[in-house]
Amino acid sequence: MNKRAAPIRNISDTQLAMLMFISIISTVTLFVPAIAAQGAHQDSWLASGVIPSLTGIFNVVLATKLAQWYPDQTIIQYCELIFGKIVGKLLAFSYVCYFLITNIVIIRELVEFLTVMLLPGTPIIFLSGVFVIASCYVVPKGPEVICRMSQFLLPLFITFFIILISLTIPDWNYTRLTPVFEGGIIPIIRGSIVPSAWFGEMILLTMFMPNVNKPQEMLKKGILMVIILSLMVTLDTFATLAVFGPDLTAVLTFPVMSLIKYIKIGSLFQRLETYMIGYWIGTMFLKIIVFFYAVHEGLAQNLNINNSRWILCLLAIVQILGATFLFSNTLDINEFLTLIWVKMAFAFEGGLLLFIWFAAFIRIKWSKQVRRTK
Amino acid sequence: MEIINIHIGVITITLKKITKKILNPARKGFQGKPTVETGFSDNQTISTNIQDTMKLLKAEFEYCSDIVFREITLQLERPLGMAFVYLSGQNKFDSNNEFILQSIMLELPKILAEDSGTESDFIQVLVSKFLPTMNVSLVDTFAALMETIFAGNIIMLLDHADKAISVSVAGPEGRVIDEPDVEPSVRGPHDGFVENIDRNIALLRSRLHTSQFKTEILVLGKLTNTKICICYVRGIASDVIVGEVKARLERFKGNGIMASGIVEELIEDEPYSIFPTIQNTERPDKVVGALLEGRVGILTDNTPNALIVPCTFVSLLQAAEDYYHRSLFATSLRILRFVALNIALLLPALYVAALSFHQEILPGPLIASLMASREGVPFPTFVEVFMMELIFEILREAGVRLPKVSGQAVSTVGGLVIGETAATAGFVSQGVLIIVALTAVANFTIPNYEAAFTIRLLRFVFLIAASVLGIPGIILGLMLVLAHLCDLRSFGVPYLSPFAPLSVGSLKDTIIRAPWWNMIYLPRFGGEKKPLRIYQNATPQKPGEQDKNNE
Repeated sequence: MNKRAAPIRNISDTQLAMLMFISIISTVTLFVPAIAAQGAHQDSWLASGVIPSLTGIFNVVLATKLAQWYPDQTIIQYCELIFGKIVGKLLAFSYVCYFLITNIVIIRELVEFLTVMLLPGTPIIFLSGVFVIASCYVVPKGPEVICRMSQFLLPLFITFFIILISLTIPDWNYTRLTPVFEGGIIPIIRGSIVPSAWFGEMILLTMFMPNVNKPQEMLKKGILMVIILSLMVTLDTFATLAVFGPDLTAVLTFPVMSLIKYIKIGSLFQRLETYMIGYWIGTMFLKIIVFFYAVHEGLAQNLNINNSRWILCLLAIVQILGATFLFSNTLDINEFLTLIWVKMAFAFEGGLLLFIWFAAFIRIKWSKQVRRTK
Repeated sequence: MEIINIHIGVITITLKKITKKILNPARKGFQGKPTVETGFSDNQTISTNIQDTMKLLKAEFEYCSDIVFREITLQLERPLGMAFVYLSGQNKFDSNNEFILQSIMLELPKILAEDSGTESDFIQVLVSKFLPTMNVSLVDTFAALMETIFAGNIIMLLDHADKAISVSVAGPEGRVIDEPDVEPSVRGPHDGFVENIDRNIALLRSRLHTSQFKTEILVLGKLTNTKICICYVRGIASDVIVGEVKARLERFKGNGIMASGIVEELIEDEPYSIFPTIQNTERPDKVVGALLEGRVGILTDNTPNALIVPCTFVSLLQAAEDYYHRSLFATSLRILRFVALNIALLLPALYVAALSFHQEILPGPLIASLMASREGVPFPTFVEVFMMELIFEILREAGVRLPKVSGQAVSTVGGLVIGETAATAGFVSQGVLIIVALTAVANFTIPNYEAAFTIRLLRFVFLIAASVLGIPGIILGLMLVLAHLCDLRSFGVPYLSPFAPLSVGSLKDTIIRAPWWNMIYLPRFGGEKKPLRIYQNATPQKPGEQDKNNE
């Protein structure tokens, strides 16, 4: 019945944690300062890291718990086991769609980022096409290669990021962060909604867990990783706020870019953001690959087929067209992100995942009881 | 319409056939018969009648001008036939060894007359009393007989004996051992491999005085019968890798192997990859270093290049010299080389990207002077850089191919005429000349020739990527190269190890080179065990400290 080969456990828990880290941090550091500042103003540095990390940890806990119960299956597969053939398939397919839409948004984000920062006037279809087709080369290589890439990039990314952020320390003005807790906790929560959705991308763990060689370690590493991630994001937002203040941060498209652009050491060391842009393109490309892998693998599992090259082509075309024609400009994306995608993300990463966990919990408990009564 | 359809169909079918033929000539399960057969079967033993044996040998060596048959008859009670067979060019059977023949012809009858042994004992008498050389062996099959003849040995055939005596005489002088041209060093040994495999093994053995250094010989190629030696240190090298090397080598059934390059292509992991997955070197010290790390060396007869497997990407950037300099110098050299690698790979691409897409990333004065030097240049930046890089590669290839006498002419024409005149005539800007020169020089810092070649090829790929998409194109290219590198394996060992997958202990010998006393563990090549390189704390200590520790 099952035509698919058993998963190979060829990635380590640390590698997977690094992969999740890099795929979340690439977009979060770019977009969160502005989005968080719109809701939480001068307290957005509290909003961007602390509360969202709870969603991250929530997702890690549920994903690892589910992986414990269904060690050889991804979320796509155990949906079917839990809810039966028809409902399970539909639910799994909705997850595939969610990953697909998220990936389309990410591709468009990257393309927007490029057209704004480096390549004004380049046709969007060309850029998205190039990146999607390039990721078609990497996706079939499987999780092992993707994880190794993230392992190679992560130290470089973090080192450069921290060096560049720390170069802005002389310009930090702490009065821009006061008054702390001006409006109480409510604005902070409002500011942390969208970042929380991003941290919820930890749900991708459910797609990779069958390939991890030590799944029992994943919970610890995952939570540690979320904590480091939230520290990085807090640092990122803190620096942006301390330099630009909440009002300016809220209206900038890519506040961190402007922040790094602000660095000037002597007359030679300026415009350092070019170096960071390089890393950003790399990590965002990796993120596209991760989501593409999730969509591709998910769809193949959902349709229960093994050789899925034509699915790859189909998905590539869908993503290129989707990224090109679904949105008209950056504002459109931001609107979609804050109004629609967030609700979708909360549904899939929060409610639905909890529901699946609960159903699995009941099923396992029930089957145990059945076994005991027998 | 139908005719057109048929035509299109025929064309597509032929195209498919052609591509299949080009891309996949040896189909799965392909098996054929050897083109050439010998006149005897593999296990045929030597006949006791010398006339039969000689007939067969003479038929086999028909039209071979270099074979020598020397038949003599010993005057005993009844005449005993005896024959010597050897290849004239392969050994030194001349005046130095004539005395053997002399003594056999003159003394043997006397001794045999005194000694009333049976005729089959003659061989024993001959071996023990008349062949004062070390290397004498007995062969009993035709296959072994042929092998010893080609190895340069002298074969002695005796009537009534079912065995032949093979006497090894020193072979002809080969090239003298001198410093390899492509891998010179400032400090450390200056000897390089030569063509003769036995001397190459001796070069390794002279550095590894242990019986655990194993040199297994395989003979490959139906016609060339090339000796291939698998070298490893038992106990350090992983048995899996040694077994894999042997299995891959034995898979080859064909006419012949001329050099180590062919062996390399036959056993590499990714035949279509742009990166070499097997390291090759002319330096015995490098091979020994690799053997001590648990790698496997492969020597091929008639080639001064040894192959080393498994090979990782960083090992291609390491020169043998790094291990002889002090750790600090070695580390700084490696960092320098790494910077040079990035220059050689990316500088032209970055120049094109910066000038045609993102002028803002360069400081103002620099972009101003670059733009000023481009004034009047009739080509776009990409064409200019690409053209100059291409011209440089042509000059370089010409420099390699030209006889040494005319090498001067190339450097004059290339360096002065093309470079200088092109700039003064305004065809290329001086900035581009600097870029091209810098990349060329940087490329020479890469110690491994194959890896340098990869970088040369990739440079053009990145140049095109940069001309299409600027910096994003370069990043995309780097990511794809990274993905490819992460995917590559050399004999089961990840190509990018110890970076990805990360193994922190092995990082001591990568971009940095930790002091020798600090590198306690060997790099891990897939094995579960963690072998030691140093057995006891070897940190240099001052006299006082040592006393303290001893107490």
